[in-house]
Amino acid sequence: MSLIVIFLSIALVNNLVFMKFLGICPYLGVSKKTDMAFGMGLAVTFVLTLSATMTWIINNLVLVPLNLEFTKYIAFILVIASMVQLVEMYLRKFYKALYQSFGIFLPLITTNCAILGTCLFIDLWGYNFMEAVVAGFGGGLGFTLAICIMAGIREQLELADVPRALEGAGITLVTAGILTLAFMGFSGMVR
Amino acid sequence: MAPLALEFASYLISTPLTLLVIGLVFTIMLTIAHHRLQVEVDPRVTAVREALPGANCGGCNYPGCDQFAEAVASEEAPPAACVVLGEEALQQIADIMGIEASAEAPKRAVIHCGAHCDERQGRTEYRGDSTCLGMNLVAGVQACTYGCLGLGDCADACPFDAIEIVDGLPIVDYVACTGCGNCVGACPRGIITLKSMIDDPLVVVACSSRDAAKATRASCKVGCIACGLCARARPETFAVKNDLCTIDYTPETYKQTGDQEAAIIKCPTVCLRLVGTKILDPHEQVEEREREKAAKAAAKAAAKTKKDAEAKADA
Repeated sequence: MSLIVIFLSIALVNNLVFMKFLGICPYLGVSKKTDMAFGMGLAVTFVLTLSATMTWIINNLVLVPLNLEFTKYIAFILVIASMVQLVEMYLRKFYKALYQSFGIFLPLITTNCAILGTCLFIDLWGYNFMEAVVAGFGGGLGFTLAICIMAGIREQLELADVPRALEGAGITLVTAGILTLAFMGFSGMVR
Repeated sequence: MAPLALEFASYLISTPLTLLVIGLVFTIMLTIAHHRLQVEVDPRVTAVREALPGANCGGCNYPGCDQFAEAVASEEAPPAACVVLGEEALQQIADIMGIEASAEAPKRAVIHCGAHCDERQGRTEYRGDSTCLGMNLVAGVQACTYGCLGLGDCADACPFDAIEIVDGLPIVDYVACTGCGNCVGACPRGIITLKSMIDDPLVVVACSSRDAAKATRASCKVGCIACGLCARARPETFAVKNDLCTIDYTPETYKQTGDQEAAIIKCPTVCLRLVGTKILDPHEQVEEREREKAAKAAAKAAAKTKKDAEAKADA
């Protein structure tokens, strides 16, 4: 499968948020403002690309030859946690404003299921190294797309006349559902 | 059976070993990154932050003490911008920053209303949301449209527990008050201001009514009726503007509270009151004045009866 198809597949057709329902917590939690959402999306993209690469290497060069694939959950979490730490240090050094605006969310990427999920999917789909890198990057961009669309809609919703019973979490979940329906239009175009 | 047991044993060793090695590799990587990417924090920021009160009251117009400490360290804000700081802490921060501590009179909250519930006329029962903000929206809850409503939004807003509501009137504890100004914003009627405590005690106007004398009289027993007696006694300090007494707090003209004595005793509605660290309840001054008045009246009556008796005896 060509790399472009893999990229489009994971970014749009098999979008992590809309199709796999992964990474819902930051998708609902950090999508109040577009700039925050974009920052979160970029952080996830960065961590996901790094993690996908690293977990592929660890999985295929260490775990598979040693016949220890059953430990991949623990090993992957170890890798992801380390990557998040690395990104956090990097941001604190070079992008202080972004680091401050993330606050608690950056460490929370460690427990973001979108990242572990993608790493496990890459292994499940049997991608080679380049495919894994592209899938990680595409998955991150797909997440960024999803969270930015959501944030844009929620910014507009602030001003909208929402029925009282649906204010807050209610209307957000309704919006998320309708967005997912829209993305269903892509389904089946790529495996 | 034997090969299976052997295989199991080999996994038992290889699994933790592999994970340990992976963990070690990442530990080393992160340690290197930690040293390479270490951020140098200005030690003065930490030192200033520790000297600050840490109440995050927002009186300095920064979101919290952390941001204010950074602003002070980068010489963006003067340490005195923190209204909560005591003299000692201010000096400490000035020492950290190597600058002179400016000694300005601290600001304190002053309530410009002096009427207890029974002194306010035309009060009706209010059963709505029990905040001043809500009560203020309802017309006719109280005849005075300027004065305190007494539900204590200011006391709720105070992060230092310096305001207590006594019989529908906030009493500021000037020992606890730091002048952060949270109460000023909380009062829907805007009757709280921050005044520089250039003297302790300080004379303040305990009324906000800008109604004409007759209307004020009708709505409150202790409202300022803009009679101007204070201004006549001490024209350099007191003035009547918009049917309300005002005080000029410029240190040159104000000088000392004791100088204002002549004007204070002239005030017929006891609107000029002393507030300060030694005065627990400024409203006591009203009661004191009433006692004095009663004593005077009694003395006068006694003198009159004596005179009458003498006149009778003469006749």
